Formats: sequence, C-alpha cells, structure tokens
Amino acid sequence: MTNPLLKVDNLQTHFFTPEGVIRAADGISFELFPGETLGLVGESGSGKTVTALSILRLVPPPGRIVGGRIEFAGRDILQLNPSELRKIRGDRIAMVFQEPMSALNPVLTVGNQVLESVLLHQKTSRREGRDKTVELFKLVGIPSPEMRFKAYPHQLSGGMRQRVMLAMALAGKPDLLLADEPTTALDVTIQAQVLNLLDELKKTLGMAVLFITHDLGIIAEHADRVAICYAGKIVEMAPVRELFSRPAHPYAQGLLNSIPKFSSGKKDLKLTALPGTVPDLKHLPPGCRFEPRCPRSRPACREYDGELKTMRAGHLAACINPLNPGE
Amino acid sequence: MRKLLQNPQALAGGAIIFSLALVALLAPYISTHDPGDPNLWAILLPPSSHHLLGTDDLGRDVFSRMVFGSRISLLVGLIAVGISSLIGIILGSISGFYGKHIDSIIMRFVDIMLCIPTFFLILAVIALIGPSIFNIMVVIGVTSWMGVTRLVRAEFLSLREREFVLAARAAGARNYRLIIRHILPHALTPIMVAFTLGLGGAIFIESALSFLGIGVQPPTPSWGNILTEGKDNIDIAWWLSVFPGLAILITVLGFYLLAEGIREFSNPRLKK
Amino acid sequence: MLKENIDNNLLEVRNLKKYFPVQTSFFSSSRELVHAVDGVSFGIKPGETLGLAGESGCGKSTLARLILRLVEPDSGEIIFAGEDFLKKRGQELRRLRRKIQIVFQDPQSSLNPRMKAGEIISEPIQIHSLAPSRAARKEIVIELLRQVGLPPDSYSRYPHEFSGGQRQRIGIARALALNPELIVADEPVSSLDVSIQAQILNLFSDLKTRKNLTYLFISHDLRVLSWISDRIAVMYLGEMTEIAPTQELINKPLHPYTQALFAAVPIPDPATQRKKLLVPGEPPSPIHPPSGCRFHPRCPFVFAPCKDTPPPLKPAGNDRLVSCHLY
Repeated sequence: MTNPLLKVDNLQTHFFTPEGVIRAADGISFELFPGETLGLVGESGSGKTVTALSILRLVPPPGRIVGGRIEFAGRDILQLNPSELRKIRGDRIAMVFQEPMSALNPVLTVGNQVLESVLLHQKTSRREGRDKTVELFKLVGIPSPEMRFKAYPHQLSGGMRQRVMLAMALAGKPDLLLADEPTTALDVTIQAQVLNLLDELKKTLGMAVLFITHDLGIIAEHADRVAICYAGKIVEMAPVRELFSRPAHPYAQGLLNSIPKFSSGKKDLKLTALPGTVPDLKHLPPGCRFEPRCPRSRPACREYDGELKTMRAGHLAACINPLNPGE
Repeated sequence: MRKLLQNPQALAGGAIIFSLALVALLAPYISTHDPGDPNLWAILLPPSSHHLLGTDDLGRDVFSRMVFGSRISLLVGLIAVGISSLIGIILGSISGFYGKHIDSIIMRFVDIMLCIPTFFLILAVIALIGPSIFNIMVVIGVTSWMGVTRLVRAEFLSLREREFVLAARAAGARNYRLIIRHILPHALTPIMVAFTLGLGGAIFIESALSFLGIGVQPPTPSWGNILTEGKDNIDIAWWLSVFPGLAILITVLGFYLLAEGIREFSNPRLKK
Repeated sequence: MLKENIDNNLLEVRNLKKYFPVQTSFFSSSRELVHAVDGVSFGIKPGETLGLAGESGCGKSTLARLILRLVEPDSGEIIFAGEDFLKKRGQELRRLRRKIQIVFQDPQSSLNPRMKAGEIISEPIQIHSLAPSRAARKEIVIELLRQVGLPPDSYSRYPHEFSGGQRQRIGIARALALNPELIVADEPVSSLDVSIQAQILNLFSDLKTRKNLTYLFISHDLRVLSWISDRIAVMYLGEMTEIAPTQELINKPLHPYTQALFAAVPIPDPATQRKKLLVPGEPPSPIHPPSGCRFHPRCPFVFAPCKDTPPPLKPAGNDRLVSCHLY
C-alpha cells in the first residue's frame, strides 16, 4: 500500500471559553491516501469542521490545538514555522467553505481574487496569470469566463460563487482539498452540479479530498471511505459500501435510519429516531459519549474510553457491543 | 443587574448619578447655609472651611446654592428627556411598525426638525413664551425627540419581520400587543442608552439657557445661573465659575459613563 | 377538476398572486417586481398532508405567509372550510385565523427570547380567551408540553435553555394551542441535525393522527417530503409545476423539473447506481421570469411551444396535475 498523504494522529483541539473547556476535537485519528475521498460525517458539534481547520492550523481563538500530530507528506504540520506553513496552505492543501459569500472579498472582482491566488502560488507574470485564471474558470465550469472575471461576488449566484471558491482553491494545484460542507448552502439541482464537478476535478487533477458533510446521501454517492464523528471523536471508519451495508456502531446505524428514504413509501412506518440530543461538550458523559442515547448500551460502556477497534479489514468502530460484529 | 455592576464604566457612572440624586434629595440637610440668604459681610469670599466653595457677590454660600441647584438641574434633565423619549418612542413605533405613508410623513418631519438648529429654536420659543422651569423642560423635551424616534423606528423595522412577531400575528394578536409585548422590549436597551445620553444633554442645555439669562430665573439657583452670575466676577472670584462648570461636566460624564456601560453590558457577545 | 372535489377541500387556493416591488437602482424611479407567487392554485383535503417542494426563491415561503395572511396577496382567492378567507375582517378574521397555524423554520428566531416557554405557548390561548382562569391556562399549556414531548418544568424556562429540537417542539406546541385544523409548516426540520430531524418528523406524524390535523408541509428536502406527504406539489419560479400523489411522483415524475429535482437528491445507498439527469444552469431571476414555460431555458426536452406559450396546469391521469407541454 502507498504511504498516506495525510495522517492525523490523536488530534486534540480544545476551546477555552469562560464557561469551561469545549473539547471540540478530542482524539481524532485517520489517514487519507493520495487521490482518495474521505467523507467526514457528523452532526453539529461533532468536531468535523474543527478537524479541517486544525489541519491548516486555522483554529480561531479561544481554540487551540493541544495535542496530537498532523503529518502531511511526511512532515508534522504542527511543527512547521510560519513560512513553511504558508507554503503548504493553498499550495498543497486548499480549503473551500460552506458559505462562499463570506469567504470572498465583496469589493474585489472575483477574477482579481482568483488571480491573486494564482500569482501567489505560481511564478507567472500578471498577464499569464490572467490567462490561467480564465483557464481555471473554464475548469470549474463557469460560463463565459472572460465576462465573469470582472464580476463582483454579489453579482453571482451561490452556485457560481462556490465555483469561484473552487477555482481559487485549485490555483495552487493542491494535493489535498478540504471541502467543508461546500454544497450545504446550495439548492439540490445546483448541489448536484457542483458535486459532479468535484468528482471530475478529482479525476483529472488526482487530488485527495476530505469531504465534510452532514448528509450521508452525498457520502454514499461521492466518497470512497467514510469516518463518522460524534462529540469530538471518530466512532466508525469504513469503506463506503461496507459502512452502509454493515454499520457497526449504533450511532452510525441510528444516523442511517434517521434519513427518510424514497422507497419506504408507507407513512404508518415510523422513522427510527435516536432519542435525546448530542451531549454538551463541556460536560461529557463518562466512558462512551454515545452511551446515554444508545439502544445497545451496557454497564461496561461507561468505562470504555472510545478507542477504535478493528471489526474487519479497513473497518474500525469504537464500540464494545457492535452491530454486525466481525468474524 | 449584578453583571451590570461588574462593568467599571457603569459602576462609576452609576455612583456619580446616585450621589447627585442623594445630594438633590437631601439638599436641606447637606447645605450649610440658606441658599437665598444674602450676607453683605461675606461678599466674594474664597473657599474656606466656613464657606466650602466660597460666596458670591451677594454673600450667598455657593456650596448651598449648588446643592439646591442640583435639584433643578436633575429635574429639568429627567422631565425633558422623559418628554422627548415618550414622543420618540411613540412616533418611532408607529413609523417603524406601520411603515409606508405614515413612516414617510413622520420621517420627513424628523428631517425637517433636524434641519433647524435645536438650540436656536429653543431660544426663540423661550423668548416667545417666557422663561420658567416648566417651559424650559417642555421646550427641551419637544425639540429633542428626533434621535430617539429614528432609533426606535430602526429597531422596529428590523424586529417586525422577525418570526416570533409573525407567529404572534398568526395567533391573532392585535397590533398593540405585538408592539408592547413582542417588539418594544427588544428595543429597550438602545432606548435606555439614548435616555441616559439625553439626560446629560438636557442638563447642559438648561445650563446654557440659564447662562444666557433666559433659563431658570434668579433667585432660584441652578448650576446655569450660578455660572452666569459668576461670569461678571470671573477675574476676581474664579470659584463662582469653576465649581458649577465642574458640576455640569461631572454630571454629563456620569450619565455618559452609565450609558456606555449599559451599551457594553447589553452587547450579547459580551454577555455570555 | 370536478366540482365536488373542490367543495371537499379544507383549503382551496385559486390563482394566488403576490409581486414584491424592488428598487433596482438608486436612480431609476421605475420599480421592478419580483414575481414571488404568480398564479398558484391547489387544494388540500381534510386530514391530508400536502408537501410543497421547490428550491430557494421559488415562492414557497411567500405562499405560506399568504395563506396565513401574514402577507396580503395582490389577487386570487383563499377558501378555507368553505369561507372566503381574504374577505374576512376584524373579529371574523380572528376567528378563522385560529384554525390555521404556522410552524417556522428557525426555532431560534421564531420564539421570543424574552418570554418563557410557558408564556409563549399560552399567549394564543390568552389572546382568544380560551381558558377561564390563569390556572386553567397553565394546565392546558402543561398538557401541550406533554403532547410535544417536553417535561412540565419546561414551562418556566427561556428559549435559550433548550436545544434546537426542543425549541422546535415549543414552536409546535404554540401552533397547537388554538386547536387548529390546518398547520402550515415552513421548513420545520431544515435547521435541525439529522437525528433530531427524525424525532420531529415522527412528532408531526403522531400529532396528525392524534389530533386529526391537516398539513401543508413545506420543504426543499424531497426525502423528508416523500416520507411525510400524501401528495406533493412542486413549485418553480412562483408557479406550480406538478401536483401528484407521493408514490406516483417518486415512481414517475412527469415534469422535467420534477425529474431533475428527484435525480439530484443524493441517495444514502452506495449500491444504487442511477443515471443522473443533470439540468444545466440556474433558476433565472424572478424579476424577469422567462416567457412561456418558466423552465424552458434549462429544460432538456424543450420544443416549439415552450418558449412562447405558458403551459396550463392540467390533469395528467390519476389525481395528477402537471404544467408541461409534453403531456
């Protein structure tokens, strides 16, 4: 097997608020291989966005990375000095956000903003950079790119803005794209277009993608492997087909069951909802964090530290009473 | 309330206002002399242990006059700002809640009022109807409501489309209920800040009017007219101008600090 | 449509229109109009759940507000239980309003943050003097809290002390307080996490059977709609494009837009391989909607009459209506 492109090992990112310490990411570990799409799934407060921000060391205060290693192409990102870090950001790892409007500068044309990143990451003249920007616009499927070059962010639709963000992210020809809910703010038909585009870009450019979303449907159609986060920890990690057909962690199964499906036509069928709500990250329950909501909980769960166990080859789950247990 | 007291600005401002109110309330007990009693043997005496802040050209005790003057100044401030806030809240609510033509009419009226220099308007009206404490309070009140109106209107505009207001409307709530119960409470903080800032301003206007001789009329003492009388003797008796001036400054500062404190306190980001 | 059918409807909306003026530029005095809802007709039978689907800006939220008369329509008719709702004034209006209630999308902004949960739920009861005393009112509210699955001590707590799902339960309890016949739910689960969404959907479904309610359920999420609705109506740019029983719509969407909409929904099952119908482009501006069929610039099946003649909403078999020249 090839070496992983990104290796996150026991990442701990905590937020130090006056009301207490929020353990947003609390021992996250995973590997991402070149050209692969890993879906990071979870509900709000599960730590998925914080993980992505930690990889670029962009955690806003009062948050701080307090432990762990983030190895990218063999180097620990957490040990880099600022100039080395800058070389990695944008150049080798790029990020797109959920709300492209707030990530774009409203008083600059989108063309100039993408051009800035092109000039920053590629050693070219301004004129050449302009051509490359138009090229990027074409790549991300922006119609009449020469005209859109002069548009301001507010003149574009949400879908177009997200394409501009993608163009900007691709300017440095990154090896890894962190996509944080990039289609959540978009309508379904536009979402389908952008997801399609992402798949194509991945194929042509050979990037790895860390795709963060709350929508398991998107994961099913666009990811190779999936990691499910709950209250700051990864509770299950598996190849996509494996997870959907044989989930091991009761939370993963609960999530799958919560989604209404087209085929389940009859309404008298109740959705199997998980009871209760996500725990307060300042006052976490002892042992397994899902235990208070878990239908399969046992007394021993309250002492279990949530370490991932191998169910099958490539299928890990943090559960001592898993569903579909391995051989 | 406890959180508000932890704010140093609010605490300082509050302490100043509280002491002033106490002085005004207990004026007869705090004053050392009768404020209207002339004493020809003690004209223009500098501050001493007997006359804490000296005496004026009629031999009256400046400290006692200022103590009683605080009553007038605070009263004028409270009533005048009370009037302007009431007008402002009513007009602003109507303007912001109903919108359309009523809003345009009220806002154009506000624009017109803002074009006229307020102080000269007050001067003209007082000259016309004659100076008295009552007239001064009313005139200051009816000429300084525009700021509050705009403020309240802006709050109403943003609040009236909020979903909890729509929900109450869908439940059949009448307009007065929407205004009083659902919208106005959310506009209270900025109104309080405006009220506090207005108080300082009104006291200042009263002093300025008295300084020009058309404010509170002698022999009733107010900080403004103590200052006026002091200006004739400023070269030989500095204490006649400096102390009332300082009193006005400190009062305005006190209200300003309190207003800033409230503003900071009510900022949701700082709250929790 | 048959005449009896119309008479049987609890809610009957006929040719409803609402245009909003927008000032396009500072210097132009001519005001342009957003065609938010442009001649929409449909009916809801008693006890039915009609799902309303559509992307952002299609006018579905405006339609909800029009039906509650939170916004006054420019023209059209709203017949509720045989009465002409738009002609009602004063006391009559208040009486009829009791029977139609709304649940909003964002439970954060739809609850007055300065009122306790108990006060929020009891306000409608107070407005309509439905309880003889304060104590009786409190009793009703506690019962409502129980029905939506909240403990009695919620009565004296403020909205910020609840989680998102619990707040939505409060919003539902408030809507139930007046014993309405029709509940308009405007994206009531869109802001909730997946596991909580399932809880609230189950609650909606329970309450419907227990209280004999009729729903107009608005959502952009077709998975949610297909689970909860008996029939689904699809809107595009202020117009109704298709209305059909849920199962038939899933099995065979007629309107090309409906087809695209269903095809764009990510399916949480990696085993299904679907041929995706990707529609190009984005919804045009509702200020200058396209001539003829509003979907024609994006439609893969566009032909001669589409550009000029707006297709009427016409019957297409078993209880189905579609607005397309293909049928």
